[in-house]
Amino acid sequence: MKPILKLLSMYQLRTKLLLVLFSLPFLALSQNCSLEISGVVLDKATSELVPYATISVEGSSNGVISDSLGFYRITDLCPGEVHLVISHVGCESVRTFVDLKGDTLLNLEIDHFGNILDQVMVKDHHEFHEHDSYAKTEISSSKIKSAAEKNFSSQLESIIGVRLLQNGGNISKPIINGLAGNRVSIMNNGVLQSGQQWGNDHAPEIDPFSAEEITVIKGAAAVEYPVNSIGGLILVEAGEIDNEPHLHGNANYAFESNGRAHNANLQLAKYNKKLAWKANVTARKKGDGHTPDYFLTNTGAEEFAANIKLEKKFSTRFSSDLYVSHFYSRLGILAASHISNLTNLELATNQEIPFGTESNFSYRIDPPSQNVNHLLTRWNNEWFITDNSWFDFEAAFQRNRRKEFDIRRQASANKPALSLDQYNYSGAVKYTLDGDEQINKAGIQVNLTQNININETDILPLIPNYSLLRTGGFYSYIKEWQNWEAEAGARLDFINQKAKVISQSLPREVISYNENYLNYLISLGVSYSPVEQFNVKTSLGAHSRSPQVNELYSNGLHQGVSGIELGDSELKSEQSLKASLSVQYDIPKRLTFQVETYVHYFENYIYLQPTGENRLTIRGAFPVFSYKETEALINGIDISTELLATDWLKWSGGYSLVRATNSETGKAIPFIPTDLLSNSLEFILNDMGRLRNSRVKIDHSFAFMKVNFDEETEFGDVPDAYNLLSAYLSTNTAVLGKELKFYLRIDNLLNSSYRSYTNRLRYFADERGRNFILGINLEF
Amino acid sequence: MIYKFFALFVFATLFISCDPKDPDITNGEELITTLIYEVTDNDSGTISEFIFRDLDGEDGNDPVVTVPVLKSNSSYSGSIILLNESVDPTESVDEEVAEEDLDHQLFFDSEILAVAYADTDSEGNPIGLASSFNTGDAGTGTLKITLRHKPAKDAEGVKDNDITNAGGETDIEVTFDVSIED
Repeated sequence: MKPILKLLSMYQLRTKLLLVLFSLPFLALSQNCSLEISGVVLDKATSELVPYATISVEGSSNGVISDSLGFYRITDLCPGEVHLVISHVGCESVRTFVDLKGDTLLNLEIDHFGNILDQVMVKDHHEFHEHDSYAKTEISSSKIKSAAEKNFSSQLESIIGVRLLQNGGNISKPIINGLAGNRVSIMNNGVLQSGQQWGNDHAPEIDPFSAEEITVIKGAAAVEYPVNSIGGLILVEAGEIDNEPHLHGNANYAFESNGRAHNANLQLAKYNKKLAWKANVTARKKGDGHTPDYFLTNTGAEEFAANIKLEKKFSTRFSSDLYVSHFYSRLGILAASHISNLTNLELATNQEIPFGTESNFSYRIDPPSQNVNHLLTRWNNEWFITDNSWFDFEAAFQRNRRKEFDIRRQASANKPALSLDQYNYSGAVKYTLDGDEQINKAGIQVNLTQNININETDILPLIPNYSLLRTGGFYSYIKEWQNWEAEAGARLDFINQKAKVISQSLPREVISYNENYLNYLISLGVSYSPVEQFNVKTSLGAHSRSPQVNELYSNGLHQGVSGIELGDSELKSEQSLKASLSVQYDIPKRLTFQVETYVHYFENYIYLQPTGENRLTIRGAFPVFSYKETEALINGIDISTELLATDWLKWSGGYSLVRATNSETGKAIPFIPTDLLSNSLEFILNDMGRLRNSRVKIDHSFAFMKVNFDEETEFGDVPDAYNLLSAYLSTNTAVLGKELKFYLRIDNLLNSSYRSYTNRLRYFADERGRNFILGINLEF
Repeated sequence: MIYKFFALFVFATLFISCDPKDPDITNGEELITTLIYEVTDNDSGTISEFIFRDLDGEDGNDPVVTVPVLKSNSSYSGSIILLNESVDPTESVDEEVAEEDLDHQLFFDSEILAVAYADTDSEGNPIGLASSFNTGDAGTGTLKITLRHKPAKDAEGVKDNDITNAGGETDIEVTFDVSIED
């Protein structure tokens, strides 16, 4: 056959060739085409049998429907490579590859129930899952693909209890249970994402498409990650490469009317016993957004991200993978937000339409703007000593290059006002012993960060040059016993931080600091399910976080917030104790209900306190903020529920509330999200002709007005409560045997003018108005 | 493979002894340390100066402010001098402002002095580097001088020394006490 194929490829188009390739087994009648595949169709989440699922052989008319019990049998198959497509009403099709040599018994999995109810408990007794004893939520790649226009942080916003700390529409970072910034860490494919995380106006440099799955663990629970996060952990995983020897992948595109944005993504993967690979490329271009009344001038954005993962199995005992990713973004910031002193701030906040607003749309990005490049490479090796014990060896390198531009006089207009270059090197060894009912893990990690200011700004740096060496180790133990599951662990990190700080007084000189800290994390989680429908989880964590460079040494004017920020080199480590309780109740295929409550106590909670002093400079007076430590208490509740009222109607609701108090002053801690109530109604439509898995969804959210806030930290009025409505429509179809999905979403359906409390630009401008998003996904 | 890995580990630990690089103590070229409003009594030719000097920028030490005494019922012409005295030799920033005249405007806000513009940019709009005013009877008050970068010179009132709709970035905003004596 091969010479014929080669001949064909010389003058046939590739697509045609593929068709020929797939139909060849059926043309070659001389072959023994009497093989069969049989088995059952199972639900991925519940392991229940799925009746009446359609199983078809791609590229042929051969196909069957599983019987009332979930069994299926496909006959008259020829030997060779076969792709099976499993589909069912109300869920996305799954493709499976089989290299058919004889009659084959194959159980097929489909995400049926999980697709209907998002929060279904995973009851898989063959393998129990890590971190299940803690409150965690996952976002799947299909969810990411059905909102292709969203940036990394916005993708996380659908999780109850996760909100965004924003600096306009483009720059946002997640707030988990009221904590953000230095207190939330991201593990990007096993590597601690390292950049200028201290900045509230610095978004994570991650392309959401690079993830097969994003997991959010609330609180400091998982000890195995070398992080400093007291608030929560976000795990970004590129996932394994499917055992699929043909080039396959998917293409995604979304257009947004507001900002006239184009978002395009291509993912490719190919499995080969010698070397498996998968690659992902994303490009975005976006112009000025629009509120219901005016353009948000200079809020355009450009993003380009590419990553590749290579996997090689050297033997059954040893495998290695390499992940390389590069992320670039250029983000415009609403010009009116860079106000220069107290007088200007007052003027700007009272302005109906922000200063500098243009009457026309533009893709132009002028200062103030940010330019970020992030390179991440990780080399991971897995070495199995026995079938259930292995070592992971990991080495990673990251480079983060950030330039921020301000509006400056002509002579220095092209010079960045902030220019930082960070190198990060890390290495880790981890040992896992995975028994039937228990997992033991231990490891050591070393991480070195070197941060330097590039001498091109002509402005004294806000953040000093520093190097930070973290050496840590952990041990964790997970045990499953009857209806119980428990996870206990501890980690210790020794931190050496050297910084070179420029003195505030004249003549300026360099002051060297050399500080050592010991961070600990002790955590215990217990999960109990007396009956299958009911689950209680409780966890307790004690954690310390050493102060970060910005908290210790920052010195200078922070443009975006119009304040002089002063670090305190005497700050001690932040200590916290968090207790949480989560209860989940399920009625299979009907209802899931989950309540999470937590109490988080802090000693030496580090925060920016307005000193009440206004410092006079030639540019006017500026309020002075300084980093202080206090005792603090943060508590809250997250409720989420989903109800499948009938086969075609689903309601889901959520509510989250956080209260954060400075125990010493009795006042509220600033920038804690408002309470949020969300509701959505989803209709699952019957298949119509070639249109399958069609859905209509209406989302409503109500953000309460901030009631408990500290007036001293507010420059203007606190925004009013607001309602937001959005509508979503999606349908799947097949074209030439390829799965195609279309969706249309309308955000801010009523075109309401509103401002969000945790958006730092709320003093200056409204949020974006109505936005139509039209998207398409193609699987091939 | 494992050896390679440990080699990397050793490589990483080599940096332990590495101190961070010394930062560069550049005093911003675009820093304005000093504003002088030089006013000349048109009759006598006497020159007086309002001076606001802050050599360390936003940091530590308070600025030094000097004010003259003005003569009542006199006519003055004024000129603005902007300096960066943190560099050697001292840099004259007002020359740069004059070069980028379209992008700059000074505003004079006072309840006791009615300052009028005495210069224009290439589009005929005021800059404010040159100005004039007449003093009235003896009294005291304040004078606020603001330099805006990229103001909307076409916006309502901006040409007439009204800052309300000007927008742009504030490069300078200083307030002087004014005293007029007989």
